[in-house]
Amino acid sequence: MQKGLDETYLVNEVLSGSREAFVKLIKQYEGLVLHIVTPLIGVNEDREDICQDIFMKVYERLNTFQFRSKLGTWIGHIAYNTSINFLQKKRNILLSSIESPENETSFLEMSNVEFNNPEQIIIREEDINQLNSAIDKLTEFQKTVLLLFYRDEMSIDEINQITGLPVNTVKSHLFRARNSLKQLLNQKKTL
Amino acid sequence: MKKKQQYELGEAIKNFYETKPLQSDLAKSVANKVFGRRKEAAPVFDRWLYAFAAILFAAGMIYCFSIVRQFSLSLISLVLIPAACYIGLSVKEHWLISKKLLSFQ
Repeated sequence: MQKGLDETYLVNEVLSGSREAFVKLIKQYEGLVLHIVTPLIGVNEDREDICQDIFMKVYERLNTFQFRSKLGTWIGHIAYNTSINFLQKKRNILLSSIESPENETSFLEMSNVEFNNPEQIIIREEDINQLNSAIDKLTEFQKTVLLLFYRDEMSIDEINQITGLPVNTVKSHLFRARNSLKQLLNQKKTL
Repeated sequence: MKKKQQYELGEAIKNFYETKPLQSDLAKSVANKVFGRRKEAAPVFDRWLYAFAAILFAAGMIYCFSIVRQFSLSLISLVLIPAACYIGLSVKEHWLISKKLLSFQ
Protein backbone atom coordinates (compact mmCIF):
# COMPACT_ATOMS: atom_id res chain seq x y z
CA MET A 1 0.00 0.00 0.00
CA GLN A 2 1.17 3.52 -0.67
CA LYS A 3 2.65 5.37 2.20
CA GLY A 4 2.77 9.12 2.22
CA LEU A 5 1.24 12.03 4.04
CA ASP A 6 -1.17 11.32 6.85
CA GLU A 7 -4.58 10.62 5.28
CA THR A 8 -6.63 12.67 7.74
CA TYR A 9 -4.36 15.68 7.37
CA LEU A 10 -4.35 15.41 3.58
CA VAL A 11 -8.13 15.07 3.33
CA ASN A 12 -8.75 17.99 5.69
CA GLU A 13 -6.30 20.17 3.78
CA VAL A 14 -8.01 19.38 0.47
CA LEU A 15 -11.43 20.06 2.01
CA SER A 16 -10.19 23.42 3.28
CA GLY A 17 -9.38 24.33 -0.34
CA SER A 18 -5.64 23.67 -0.58
CA ARG A 19 -4.57 23.17 -4.17
CA GLU A 20 -1.15 21.88 -3.06
CA ALA A 21 -2.74 19.19 -0.86
CA PHE A 22 -4.95 18.05 -3.73
CA VAL A 23 -1.95 17.82 -6.06
CA LYS A 24 -0.13 15.73 -3.40
CA LEU A 25 -3.17 13.49 -3.03
CA ILE A 26 -3.31 12.88 -6.79
CA LYS A 27 0.42 12.17 -7.00
CA GLN A 28 0.14 9.78 -4.04
CA TYR A 29 -2.69 7.72 -5.52
CA GLU A 30 -2.01 8.10 -9.27
CA GLY A 31 -0.14 4.79 -9.37
CA LEU A 32 -2.94 2.87 -7.70
CA VAL A 33 -5.52 4.37 -10.07
CA LEU A 34 -3.35 3.48 -13.06
CA HIS A 35 -3.06 -0.12 -11.84
CA ILE A 36 -6.85 -0.33 -11.82
CA VAL A 37 -7.66 1.64 -14.96
CA THR A 38 -4.93 0.41 -17.33
CA PRO A 39 -5.74 -3.33 -17.26
CA LEU A 40 -9.44 -2.60 -17.80
CA ILE A 41 -9.29 0.22 -20.34
CA GLY A 42 -5.90 -0.30 -22.00
CA VAL A 43 -3.29 2.27 -22.94
CA ASN A 44 -5.22 4.79 -25.05
CA GLU A 45 -6.71 8.29 -25.02
CA ASP A 46 -9.69 7.16 -22.96
CA ARG A 47 -7.35 6.24 -20.12
CA GLU A 48 -6.24 9.87 -19.72
CA ASP A 49 -9.84 11.13 -19.61
CA ILE A 50 -10.95 8.43 -17.19
CA CYS A 51 -8.09 9.14 -14.77
CA GLN A 52 -9.01 12.83 -14.78
CA ASP A 53 -12.66 11.94 -14.30
CA ILE A 54 -11.79 9.71 -11.33
CA PHE A 55 -9.90 12.44 -9.46
CA MET A 56 -12.64 14.97 -10.24
CA LYS A 57 -15.09 12.55 -8.60
CA VAL A 58 -12.68 12.09 -5.67
CA TYR A 59 -12.66 15.86 -5.14
CA GLU A 60 -16.43 16.17 -5.44
CA ARG A 61 -17.10 13.31 -3.03
CA LEU A 62 -14.26 13.80 -0.57
CA ASN A 63 -16.57 15.43 1.98
CA THR A 64 -18.48 12.13 2.14
CA PHE A 65 -15.35 10.11 2.99
CA GLN A 66 -15.73 9.01 6.61
CA PHE A 67 -12.39 7.24 7.24
CA ARG A 68 -14.13 3.88 7.62
CA SER A 69 -11.70 2.43 5.09
CA LYS A 70 -8.28 3.45 3.87
CA LEU A 71 -8.31 6.45 1.53
CA GLY A 72 -6.59 4.30 -1.13
CA THR A 73 -9.35 1.69 -0.96
CA TRP A 74 -12.00 4.41 -1.31
CA ILE A 75 -10.24 6.02 -4.29
CA GLY A 76 -9.64 2.56 -5.77
CA HIS A 77 -13.37 1.83 -5.53
CA ILE A 78 -14.19 5.04 -7.43
CA ALA A 79 -11.52 4.18 -10.04
CA TYR A 80 -12.87 0.65 -10.51
CA ASN A 81 -16.51 1.72 -10.79
CA THR A 82 -15.68 4.53 -13.24
CA SER A 83 -13.73 2.12 -15.44
CA ILE A 84 -16.45 -0.54 -15.34
CA ASN A 85 -19.14 2.02 -16.19
CA PHE A 86 -17.04 3.17 -19.13
CA LEU A 87 -16.54 -0.42 -20.32
CA GLN A 88 -20.23 -1.18 -20.02
CA LYS A 89 -21.15 1.87 -22.06
CA LYS A 90 -18.49 1.19 -24.67
CA ARG A 91 -19.07 -2.50 -25.14
CA ASN A 92 -22.74 -2.46 -24.31
CA ILE A 93 -22.46 -5.63 -22.19
CA LEU A 94 -23.50 -6.60 -18.73
CA LEU A 95 -20.94 -6.49 -15.95
CA SER A 96 -21.88 -9.96 -14.75
CA SER A 97 -20.80 -11.50 -18.05
CA ILE A 98 -17.26 -10.20 -17.72
CA GLU A 99 -16.62 -10.44 -14.02
CA SER A 100 -17.36 -14.10 -13.19
CA PRO A 101 -14.72 -16.63 -14.02
CA GLU A 102 -16.02 -19.91 -15.40
CA ASN A 103 -16.68 -22.83 -13.06
CA GLU A 104 -16.13 -20.76 -9.96
CA THR A 105 -17.89 -23.29 -7.73
CA SER A 106 -15.66 -26.11 -8.83
CA PHE A 107 -12.68 -23.82 -8.32
CA LEU A 108 -13.77 -23.14 -4.74
CA GLU A 109 -14.20 -26.81 -3.95
CA MET A 110 -10.97 -27.93 -5.51
CA SER A 111 -8.56 -25.09 -5.11
CA ASN A 112 -9.11 -23.43 -1.73
CA VAL A 113 -6.36 -25.46 -0.13
CA GLU A 114 -4.10 -24.79 -3.08
CA PHE A 115 -4.89 -21.05 -2.97
CA ASN A 116 -3.95 -20.73 0.66
CA ASN A 117 -0.68 -22.57 0.08
CA PRO A 118 0.26 -21.41 -3.40
CA GLU A 119 3.07 -23.02 -5.27
CA GLN A 120 5.95 -20.57 -5.53
CA ILE A 121 6.50 -19.17 -8.99
CA ILE A 122 10.16 -18.40 -9.44
CA ILE A 123 11.21 -16.13 -12.27
CA ARG A 124 14.81 -16.17 -13.40
CA GLU A 125 16.56 -12.93 -14.12
CA GLU A 126 16.75 -13.65 -17.86
CA ASP A 127 12.94 -14.13 -17.97
CA ILE A 128 12.13 -10.83 -16.25
CA ASN A 129 11.73 -9.05 -19.60
CA GLN A 130 8.99 -11.51 -20.56
CA LEU A 131 7.00 -10.80 -17.41
CA ASN A 132 5.38 -7.60 -18.74
CA SER A 133 4.16 -9.22 -21.96
CA ALA A 134 2.95 -12.30 -20.04
CA ILE A 135 0.91 -10.10 -17.65
CA ASP A 136 -0.52 -8.16 -20.60
CA LYS A 137 -1.92 -11.44 -21.97
CA LEU A 138 -4.05 -12.08 -18.87
CA THR A 139 -7.75 -11.15 -18.86
CA GLU A 140 -8.70 -7.65 -17.67
CA PHE A 141 -9.93 -8.78 -14.26
CA GLN A 142 -7.04 -11.19 -13.66
CA LYS A 143 -4.61 -8.39 -14.44
CA THR A 144 -6.38 -5.90 -12.15
CA VAL A 145 -6.53 -8.30 -9.22
CA LEU A 146 -2.95 -9.46 -9.75
CA LEU A 147 -1.56 -5.92 -9.81
CA LEU A 148 -3.56 -4.80 -6.78
CA PHE A 149 -2.42 -7.88 -4.84
CA TYR A 150 1.26 -7.87 -5.75
CA ARG A 151 2.08 -4.35 -6.95
CA ASP A 152 -0.02 -2.39 -4.42
CA GLU A 153 0.23 -5.08 -1.73
CA MET A 154 -3.49 -5.07 -1.06
CA SER A 155 -5.23 -7.81 0.86
CA ILE A 156 -8.02 -9.93 -0.63
CA ASP A 157 -10.49 -8.01 1.58
CA GLU A 158 -9.25 -4.67 0.29
CA ILE A 159 -9.54 -5.88 -3.31
CA ASN A 160 -13.04 -7.04 -2.45
CA GLN A 161 -13.87 -3.53 -1.16
CA ILE A 162 -12.43 -1.89 -4.28
CA THR A 163 -14.01 -4.13 -6.89
CA GLY A 164 -17.13 -5.22 -5.06
CA LEU A 165 -16.39 -8.75 -6.32
CA PRO A 166 -17.03 -11.53 -3.80
CA VAL A 167 -13.91 -12.64 -1.89
CA ASN A 168 -13.99 -16.05 -3.58
CA THR A 169 -14.19 -14.46 -7.04
CA VAL A 170 -11.17 -12.32 -6.21
CA LYS A 171 -9.30 -15.43 -5.06
CA SER A 172 -10.37 -17.23 -8.19
CA HIS A 173 -9.08 -14.44 -10.48
CA LEU A 174 -5.81 -14.37 -8.58
CA PHE A 175 -5.40 -18.13 -8.68
CA ARG A 176 -6.09 -18.29 -12.40
CA ALA A 177 -3.81 -15.32 -13.06
CA ARG A 178 -0.94 -17.06 -11.29
CA ASN A 179 -1.56 -20.29 -13.19
CA SER A 180 -1.80 -18.52 -16.55
CA LEU A 181 1.38 -16.58 -15.84
CA LYS A 182 3.19 -19.77 -14.93
CA GLN A 183 2.06 -21.38 -18.19
CA LEU A 184 2.90 -18.34 -20.28
CA LEU A 185 6.39 -18.05 -18.79
CA ASN A 186 7.03 -21.78 -19.18
CA GLN A 187 5.82 -21.69 -22.79
CA LYS A 188 8.37 -19.04 -23.62
CA LYS A 189 11.11 -21.06 -22.03
CA THR A 190 10.34 -24.10 -24.20
CA LEU A 191 10.09 -22.07 -27.42
CA MET B 1 26.92 -6.12 -4.68
CA LYS B 2 26.05 -9.45 -6.28
CA LYS B 3 22.92 -9.37 -8.46
CA LYS B 4 20.05 -11.63 -7.54
CA GLN B 5 19.55 -14.51 -9.98
CA GLN B 6 15.86 -15.27 -9.50
CA TYR B 7 12.73 -13.69 -8.07
CA GLU B 8 9.47 -14.85 -6.53
CA LEU B 9 6.41 -13.75 -8.61
CA GLY B 10 5.26 -11.04 -6.19
CA GLU B 11 8.77 -9.68 -5.85
CA ALA B 12 9.22 -9.63 -9.63
CA ILE B 13 5.91 -7.84 -10.24
CA LYS B 14 6.64 -5.28 -7.53
CA ASN B 15 10.10 -4.52 -8.79
CA PHE B 16 9.88 -4.96 -12.54
CA TYR B 17 6.32 -4.62 -13.82
CA GLU B 18 5.70 -1.14 -15.17
CA THR B 19 2.39 0.40 -16.07
CA LYS B 20 2.80 2.86 -18.92
CA PRO B 21 2.57 6.36 -17.42
CA LEU B 22 0.05 8.92 -18.63
CA GLN B 23 1.15 11.42 -21.26
CA SER B 24 -0.31 14.41 -19.44
CA ASP B 25 0.52 15.75 -15.99
CA LEU B 26 -2.56 14.34 -14.26
CA ALA B 27 -2.17 16.27 -10.99
CA LYS B 28 -1.73 19.59 -12.74
CA SER B 29 -4.57 19.16 -15.23
CA VAL B 30 -7.07 18.00 -12.59
CA ALA B 31 -6.02 20.75 -10.15
CA ASN B 32 -6.43 23.30 -12.97
CA LYS B 33 -9.93 22.03 -13.64
CA VAL B 34 -10.87 22.15 -9.96
CA PHE B 35 -9.13 25.32 -8.84
CA GLY B 36 -8.80 27.15 -12.17
CA ARG B 37 -5.62 28.05 -13.99
CA ARG B 38 -2.98 29.78 -11.97
CA LYS B 39 -0.87 32.48 -13.57
CA GLU B 40 2.67 31.15 -13.83
CA ALA B 41 5.34 33.28 -12.17
CA ALA B 42 7.61 35.07 -14.61
CA PRO B 43 10.98 33.35 -15.03
CA VAL B 44 13.92 34.95 -13.21
CA PHE B 45 15.52 36.04 -16.51
CA ASP B 46 12.35 37.91 -17.56
CA ARG B 47 12.17 39.71 -14.21
CA TRP B 48 15.75 40.99 -14.59
CA LEU B 49 15.01 42.01 -18.16
CA TYR B 50 11.96 44.03 -17.06
CA ALA B 51 13.96 45.73 -14.30
CA PHE B 52 16.75 46.64 -16.74
CA ALA B 53 14.22 47.98 -19.29
CA ALA B 54 12.56 50.10 -16.56
CA ILE B 55 15.91 51.65 -15.52
CA LEU B 56 16.78 52.31 -19.17
CA PHE B 57 13.38 53.94 -19.74
CA ALA B 58 13.75 56.20 -16.67
CA ALA B 59 17.25 57.27 -17.74
CA GLY B 60 15.98 58.00 -21.27
CA MET B 61 13.13 60.11 -19.95
CA ILE B 62 15.46 62.21 -17.78
CA TYR B 63 17.79 62.71 -20.76
CA CYS B 64 14.86 63.68 -23.04
CA PHE B 65 13.56 66.25 -20.54
CA SER B 66 16.98 67.87 -20.34
CA ILE B 67 17.01 68.25 -24.14
CA VAL B 68 13.35 69.28 -24.51
CA ARG B 69 13.81 72.16 -22.01
CA GLN B 70 15.95 73.94 -24.63
CA PHE B 71 13.04 74.18 -27.17
CA SER B 72 9.85 76.29 -27.24
CA LEU B 73 6.46 74.94 -26.06
CA SER B 74 4.91 74.97 -29.56
CA LEU B 75 7.75 72.91 -30.98
CA ILE B 76 7.50 70.42 -28.11
CA SER B 77 3.72 70.10 -28.66
CA LEU B 78 4.28 69.53 -32.37
CA VAL B 79 6.37 66.44 -31.60
CA LEU B 80 4.66 65.20 -28.41
CA ILE B 81 1.01 65.20 -29.59
CA PRO B 82 1.56 62.93 -32.67
CA ALA B 83 3.85 60.72 -30.59
CA ALA B 84 1.20 60.36 -27.86
CA CYS B 85 -1.45 59.56 -30.49
CA TYR B 86 0.78 56.95 -32.10
CA ILE B 87 1.61 55.26 -28.77
CA GLY B 88 -2.03 55.37 -27.63
CA LEU B 89 -3.30 53.75 -30.84
CA SER B 90 -0.57 51.07 -30.71
CA VAL B 91 -1.47 50.15 -27.13
CA LYS B 92 -5.15 49.95 -28.02
CA GLU B 93 -4.44 47.71 -31.02
CA HIS B 94 -2.19 45.44 -28.93
CA TRP B 95 -4.91 45.17 -26.30
CA LEU B 96 -7.55 44.27 -28.90
CA ILE B 97 -5.33 41.62 -30.53
CA SER B 98 -4.44 39.96 -27.23
CA LYS B 99 -8.15 39.92 -26.27
CA LYS B 100 -9.01 38.25 -29.59
CA LEU B 101 -6.23 35.67 -29.17
CA LEU B 102 -7.39 34.82 -25.65
CA SER B 103 -10.92 34.18 -26.87
CA PHE B 104 -9.54 31.54 -29.31
CA GLN B 105 -7.92 29.47 -26.49
